[in-house]
Amino acid sequence: MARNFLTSAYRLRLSAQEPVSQPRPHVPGEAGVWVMIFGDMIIFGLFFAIFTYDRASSREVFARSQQTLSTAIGLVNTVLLLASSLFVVVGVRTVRSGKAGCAPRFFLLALLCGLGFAVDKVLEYSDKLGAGITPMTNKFYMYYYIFTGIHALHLVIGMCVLVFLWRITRKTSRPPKITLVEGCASYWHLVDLLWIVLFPLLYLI
Amino acid sequence: MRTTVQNNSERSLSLVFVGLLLLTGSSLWLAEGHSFSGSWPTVLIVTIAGAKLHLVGMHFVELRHAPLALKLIFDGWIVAVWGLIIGLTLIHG
Repeated sequence: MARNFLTSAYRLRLSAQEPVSQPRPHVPGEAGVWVMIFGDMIIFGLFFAIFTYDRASSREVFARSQQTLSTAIGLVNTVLLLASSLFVVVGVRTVRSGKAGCAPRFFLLALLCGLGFAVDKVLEYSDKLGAGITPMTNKFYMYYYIFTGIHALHLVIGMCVLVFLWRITRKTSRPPKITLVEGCASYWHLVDLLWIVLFPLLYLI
Repeated sequence: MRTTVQNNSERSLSLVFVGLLLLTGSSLWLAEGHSFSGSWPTVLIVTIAGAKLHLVGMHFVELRHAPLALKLIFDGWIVAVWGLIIGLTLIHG
């Protein structure tokens, strides 16, 4: 009995000394996707800097023009993109866990959020254009149309990527390559990341 | 065991999402200009945006499991954007 006790104690001691196994570092998606994502992030970083620099020289025009933007629309769009990112990561984890059957539902929900953002953007643009506000009105609106326009282009490409994800995860007979799913998901998250800076820059500060 | 791990990870994702919503709400509150004057609201709002970027990057993009170099490049971009916006606002403001 004493021997059994000692053996158990020794085993316990050994297990206490064992290092906690850390998951191996893992790049979500192909390396090439990350080159593209970081390239986009750098370009947008320059956009943000140029906008901030120009705002300093015409503070009043920028502040007055910002007042005409609807913070409510910007907020709804922020929540939609954050929710879409949540759905996408849950979808990716579902594919990774081998329960690919539920994954298309999450990618579809993310797509619906993206669609909601696009509808909001169309409403916002038509409201501004209807009021005679164009990119030529002043510097603020020029930046507003260019930045949100390029972001909207990313959104449309991202929505096509989500449709692709939805399609490849629907085929239960052939599970998709996880690197492909992660790469597509990372691109969608980029759309959310860029908006996280655009929203306060254009609507709040 | 696997289900417990999965439930924990889903719970942590939900917490991150709630945190992101709260941070967004506080940005709006600061933008209304209730408590701070001068450049402080801008500094705080941009800092909140940086925190949101970090949360989305680490938890939704799953960069917390990525190699250190990738994490450093990502967080480096956040710091650079934060520094540029705050710096240019303070210098020219």
